[in-house]
Amino acid sequence: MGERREVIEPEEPWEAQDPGDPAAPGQPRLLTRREVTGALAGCAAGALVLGGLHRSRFADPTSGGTAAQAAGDPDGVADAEATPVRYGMVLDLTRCDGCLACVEACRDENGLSDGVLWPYVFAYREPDDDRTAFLLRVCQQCADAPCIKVCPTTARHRRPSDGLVLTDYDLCIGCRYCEVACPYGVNYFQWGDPETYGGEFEGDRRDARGVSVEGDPPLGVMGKCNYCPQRQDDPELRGTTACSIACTMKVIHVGDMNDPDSEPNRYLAQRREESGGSLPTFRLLEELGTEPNVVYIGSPPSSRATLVEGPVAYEEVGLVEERRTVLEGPAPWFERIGASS
Amino acid sequence: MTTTVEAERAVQRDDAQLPEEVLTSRTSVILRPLGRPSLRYLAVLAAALAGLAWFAQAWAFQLRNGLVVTGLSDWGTGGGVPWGIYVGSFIWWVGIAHGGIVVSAAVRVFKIDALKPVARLAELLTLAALVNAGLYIIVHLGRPDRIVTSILPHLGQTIRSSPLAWDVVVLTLYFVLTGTYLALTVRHDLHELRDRLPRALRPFYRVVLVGYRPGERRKAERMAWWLALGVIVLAPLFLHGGVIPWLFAVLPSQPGWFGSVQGPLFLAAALTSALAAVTILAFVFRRAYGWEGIIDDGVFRSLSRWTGLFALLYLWLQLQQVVTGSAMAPDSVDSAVDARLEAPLFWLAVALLAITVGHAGLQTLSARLFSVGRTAAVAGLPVLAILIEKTLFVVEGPRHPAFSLYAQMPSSYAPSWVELSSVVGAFAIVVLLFLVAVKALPLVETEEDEP
Repeated sequence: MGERREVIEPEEPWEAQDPGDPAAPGQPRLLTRREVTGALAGCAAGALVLGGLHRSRFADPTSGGTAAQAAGDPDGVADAEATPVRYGMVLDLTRCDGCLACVEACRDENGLSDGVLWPYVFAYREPDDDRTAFLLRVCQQCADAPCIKVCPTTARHRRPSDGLVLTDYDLCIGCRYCEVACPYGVNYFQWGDPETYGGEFEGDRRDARGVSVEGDPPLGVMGKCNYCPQRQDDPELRGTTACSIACTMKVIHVGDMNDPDSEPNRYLAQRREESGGSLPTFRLLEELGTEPNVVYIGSPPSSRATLVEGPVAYEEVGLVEERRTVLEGPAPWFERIGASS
Repeated sequence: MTTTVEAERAVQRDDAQLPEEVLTSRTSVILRPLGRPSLRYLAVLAAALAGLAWFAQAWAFQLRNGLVVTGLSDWGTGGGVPWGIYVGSFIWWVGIAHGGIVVSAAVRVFKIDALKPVARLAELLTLAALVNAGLYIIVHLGRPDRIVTSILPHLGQTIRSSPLAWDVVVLTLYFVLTGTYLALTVRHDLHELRDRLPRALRPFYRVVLVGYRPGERRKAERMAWWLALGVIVLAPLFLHGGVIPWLFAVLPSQPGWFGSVQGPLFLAAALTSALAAVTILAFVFRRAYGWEGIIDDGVFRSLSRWTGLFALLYLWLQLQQVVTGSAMAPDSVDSAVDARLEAPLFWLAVALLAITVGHAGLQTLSARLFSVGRTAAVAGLPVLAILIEKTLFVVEGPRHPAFSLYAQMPSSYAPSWVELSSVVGAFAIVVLLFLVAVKALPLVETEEDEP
């Protein structure tokens, strides 16, 4: 190895101080250009992260504001694609009887795998109240959606035409960050091949833009209640969802929450008028700052509410309530060998 | 034996004052592993390859069938958790990686000479652990084939608010930082020892030594010093004291993950597990190659004390979380903390760390109580404890969400054979990387740094 090239070259041109420098060995003297650029790059990256954090984290807790107000927020990072039309729902819980027709209809229209419950109906009771109350949980179409913020790929995005929060099935890497970030638990991952696990969606999943967002997701990507974009893209069906059509109790009202003249807003105004201005309404977990676009008529469950059996069990109508129970993977080779011998 | 004792003293003094033959003998002890592989070496190699092969077929099984082969499910109505031991192991490995390089950087910046003989082991551990951290991100994904095409083109946008995008950036930064740091410090050694290194690896050395000039030594040292300082500054700000805990702590949905001390808590866990892992490595190499004179008892005393100190810090920070989270906290936080306190695995982790602290304390009290073997054995406890606690932390988050109705639903998680195989595979990767490194590089720096 002695023959290796040992060319003594002149000192690097970027060296700040130079040959014969008397400074103590190993003692840093002046920063070299590379060191300075490195440090600056580090600071810039840090500032970027902190800046992003600050802007994205603290949403206006007083909320109540409309999506339009959110759209006007210059700091609305999550709402980079704020849209004039913002689809949402008014859900009249005072009318819900827990029949699960909405859950069934959604499963059928979107061909959902077993245990995937895009709409879910909680049946619960408050202490000192014998009546069973219901809470219909759908995607809240948040104006400040945590799922969009945390997505590392922009697969979870807001569709410009109507503000729907959707997943691009062709872009999603299946990290499930949206699922843990969403406080409402509306995300359902495709753990196995949908055909093996009860999924029956047929179609190319593409919406009017040509983006893959419709129906039960393919293997390895995330899905959630999407307000049936296949309907919103169809002038005949716009303003409906599979669940809203199926609900005979008229609990579900879908439409543009930014438009005071939309069906849900008119319904809300009418109910307010009927109640003499004392209509109880709420937005779910509003204190978390997600600015949900779903307005509930009724009272939210208190922290002391307890779950009870509803009038119709999920199993009764052919649905699976607890998905974990049907997520059994195939037997590995060593078990098959054991079983056959 | 005399030579090793002399060599031991040599570590403490300035090379310039040492007789040539002492230096030479110390160097030959350091170079001892570079010879022909022993039978034991080959046995360990075979075991590691078998472990890796087992993991490979398990992962292939997962790629074919989807993540349904794991014990994971959806949280909420799904009755499970979407993140499990893959994410727990990710935090664990990335913690060992961050801790490892901090140990090495601290040796350089704060002149902790007692740990100098294990600095390079810590650097190599960092690289191996980073490989595993990256691997776990990929293994965790539903569509790993899209990781480059889906993440890179959107990084400019996602970097603003996606913690996973931050994570990918800092992991890459860290890999480059550590690799550069290791290369800077190893080049000089390779050049000085070029005539005594295995001939077969010459092409490799030629690549590592590209453009090497003997005069670069001082400059390289200074660059390594600045890199080390960068590591010391970055670790608490953006690495294990920052981005990694923020993956969880910035989410409003899971109160069990929330908490402003998550940063220091993660950092304390990282340093504890890294120091303990370095202790085990040091013990293994000392035993395997008769390095009693190179990695002397003082190294283990120091490692034991530092591990104990950070384990104590970790326990204290957990106490902060528990007290603030259960005294008069909001309901959702309260129930998440209660759940943690009711988990037997949490208390197992606490007990293992308490033993680590107690053991370190006892050894400090009396020199007679010190034992290298026991120190190495006890070092296994915090390593295991942090893996348990981090996995529990990941799993318990979605099981006790802010949406309190979900907390009443049945929910459980147990890692499947595929997930457990990954733990074996990741361990095998570290062993393999060290088996390769030990035949190619001097695993202890051969010369004193300049003062």
